[in-house]
Amino acid sequence: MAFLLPTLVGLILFQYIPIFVALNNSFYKMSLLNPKAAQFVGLGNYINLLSDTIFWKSVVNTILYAVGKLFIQIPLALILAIILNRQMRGVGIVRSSVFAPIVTSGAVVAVLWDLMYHPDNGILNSIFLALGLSKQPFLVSESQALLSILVMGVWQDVGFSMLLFLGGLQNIPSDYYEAASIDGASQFDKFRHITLPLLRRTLLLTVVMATVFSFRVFTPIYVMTNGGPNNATLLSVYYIYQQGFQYMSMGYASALAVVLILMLVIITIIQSRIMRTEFEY
Amino acid sequence: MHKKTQLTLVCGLLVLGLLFSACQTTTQPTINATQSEKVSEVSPTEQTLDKEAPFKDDAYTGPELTTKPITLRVLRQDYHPAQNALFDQWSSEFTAAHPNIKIQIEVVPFPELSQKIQTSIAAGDAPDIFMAQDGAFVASYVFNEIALPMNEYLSQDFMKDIIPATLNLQSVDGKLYMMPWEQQVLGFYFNRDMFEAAGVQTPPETDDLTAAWTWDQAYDAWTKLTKKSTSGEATIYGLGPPTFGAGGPGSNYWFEGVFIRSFGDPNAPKDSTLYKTWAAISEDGTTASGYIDTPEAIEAMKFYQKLHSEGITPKVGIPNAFQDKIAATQLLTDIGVSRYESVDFNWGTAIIPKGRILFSHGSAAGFLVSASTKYPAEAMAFLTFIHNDANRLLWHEARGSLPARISLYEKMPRYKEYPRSMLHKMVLDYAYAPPQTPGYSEYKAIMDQTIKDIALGADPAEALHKAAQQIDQQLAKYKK
Repeated sequence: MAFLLPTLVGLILFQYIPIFVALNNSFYKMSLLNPKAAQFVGLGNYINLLSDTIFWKSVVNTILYAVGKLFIQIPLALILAIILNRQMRGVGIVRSSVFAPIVTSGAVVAVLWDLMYHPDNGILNSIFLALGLSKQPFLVSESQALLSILVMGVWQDVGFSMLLFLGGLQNIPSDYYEAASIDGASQFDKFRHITLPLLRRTLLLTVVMATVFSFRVFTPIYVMTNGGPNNATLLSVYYIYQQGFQYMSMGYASALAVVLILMLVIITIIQSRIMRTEFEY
Repeated sequence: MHKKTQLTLVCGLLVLGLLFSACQTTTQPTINATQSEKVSEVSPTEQTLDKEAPFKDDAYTGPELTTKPITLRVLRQDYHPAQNALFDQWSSEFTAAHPNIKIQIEVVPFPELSQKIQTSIAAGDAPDIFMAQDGAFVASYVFNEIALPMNEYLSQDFMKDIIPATLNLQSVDGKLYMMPWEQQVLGFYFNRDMFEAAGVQTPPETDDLTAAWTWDQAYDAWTKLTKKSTSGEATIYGLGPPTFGAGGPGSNYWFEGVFIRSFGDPNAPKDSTLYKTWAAISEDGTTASGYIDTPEAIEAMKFYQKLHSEGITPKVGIPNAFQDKIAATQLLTDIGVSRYESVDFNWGTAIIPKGRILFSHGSAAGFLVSASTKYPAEAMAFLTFIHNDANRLLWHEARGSLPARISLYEKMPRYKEYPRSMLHKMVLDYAYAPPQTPGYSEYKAIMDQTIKDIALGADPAEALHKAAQQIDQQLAKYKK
């Protein structure tokens, strides 16, 4: 218990208390500029939220982003982990290179990618033109902006997922693979019948974390697009920020945040149920 | 120690080091009108600071200051190092004269000022003195009862010396809430070499404001100045993108709102769409429908959209486009006159192009005293000190900004010389306050996004109508 105390205190101070404060604030109409003038509105904020088409647009965008990220990032991270889970020259450098974006400031990454995505002079379009392809609008196009943010997000976060998978792979006893080899199993058979089942817990952790991170995305939107063009990249957390800090409606922003947390909890429970495993090693 | 353990430890320390550095604010300071100014040397004829009497011309008329030891907390934006140094100098001089009063200054990047003020107040930790991003926020701060009225602390001479437009914007119900720190208007900067190379006549460089180009004349010049490669991407833009924050369309309504409001007319009948286009918001500051979505506003935004769709100006920000000779012209505040002194090409300053009227937003950042301060007299004494004539002259020399007080122009000979003389005239005659509403933060945020959407192709009429509805919805909370 003594070992857990610092973490518990931190969790209570920086996670649970703010959640309860936000829950309390969600029943008020209030501005951060004058919290003493807050007016109790009961469920008024939640009722308004139901008909807030922009909020629901942001939720749809966020889900699309999260789903897209899972379908690209998880398989990519697993492939990278399998490739890099071997002793070979330079593997440490490659692993570090894949992991490096995670430890780089999100704002710096966003600024760099913003320049890369420049529709006229960005390096990506220069490469496209050199390859004989046409220029792309990227962030200034309603149809491409969210995908552009997604690609950047995968680039930044795949290293973390890879690291989790790497840890999971290294914990699988080699005896199983040796036994399978003796029985004449192919690489694919080993992957399908040994690696995947025994990685299920790691997969669950990776999927849950990737989902949570996706729902939390804010910096790229703040730096690169401000939710545009035409709300194409408006994600829920950015909309909450807009409501609280630009539209001076902290009470409403708190209600949005509470709803978002509930959605995330439900999604996480569903993921845990679907991906639970009885396999142990 | 085992080699593997040593390696693990070193790697772990390296990762921790990277994590700590990543956790620090590494956001690039956003490019804004407050950075990268060249420091002008103070000319002997303009240096009036009397080192033996730094408090000369102080306008303070409030009560005696406390003799108890106190700390005055000041929140302000970050400036160029030479300008930041002035604050250090002023703090030292003030504390030398009042040894019991310590000045503690907190500096944040300009775009983060509003947020910092909100979070400080919400935390019950408001500074004694804080800087607002713009005088347009005064109405909001007064509505939320966080600003102290200043009239009783200031001499009548000082009050009368404030430029009327500034006084009007920074007052509510006849009470001044924000000190006249400085004033800003837009100038139209052009690369003379590029104009010559393209065979395009340069805009008029004159104090006669009636000679300003129209937007159509500017457009004609821009189309000739814009150059594109064979693959269609622009190599030279006729007009550089806005430079506030990350830059690009929608980065600051203060800059781009001029396209809309210049299509209106303050002299038209008050119930006309012409007048309402100029006004940009209802008189009570709570209604945007019928003001930002008028036929004139839509016409203005169609023109604005054309500039982007034809590649005359970029759809995203490009840092230093004008200085790097990527843009032939730039709309920027008066700060540009100092900022561009170090460029390696010939350039000039002209009057901003006009629509139906000549129009520039005229306002700037400035200091307020927190209503919750325990030391209002001391806070005002410090503010009147940094706003006295001597210190104002030092400030405007270092920053290159326009004074917000009438008499200071007489004390600085450079405002009799072009282009500052032209900008001075703009301040007096054609600088209008941003839309005055307690919900300026909401108004600006929605307009910024709308302007960006229009630049990127959204239908102007639809976008402006939608914005008007959104703004009305947000401003409903301020209706009395």
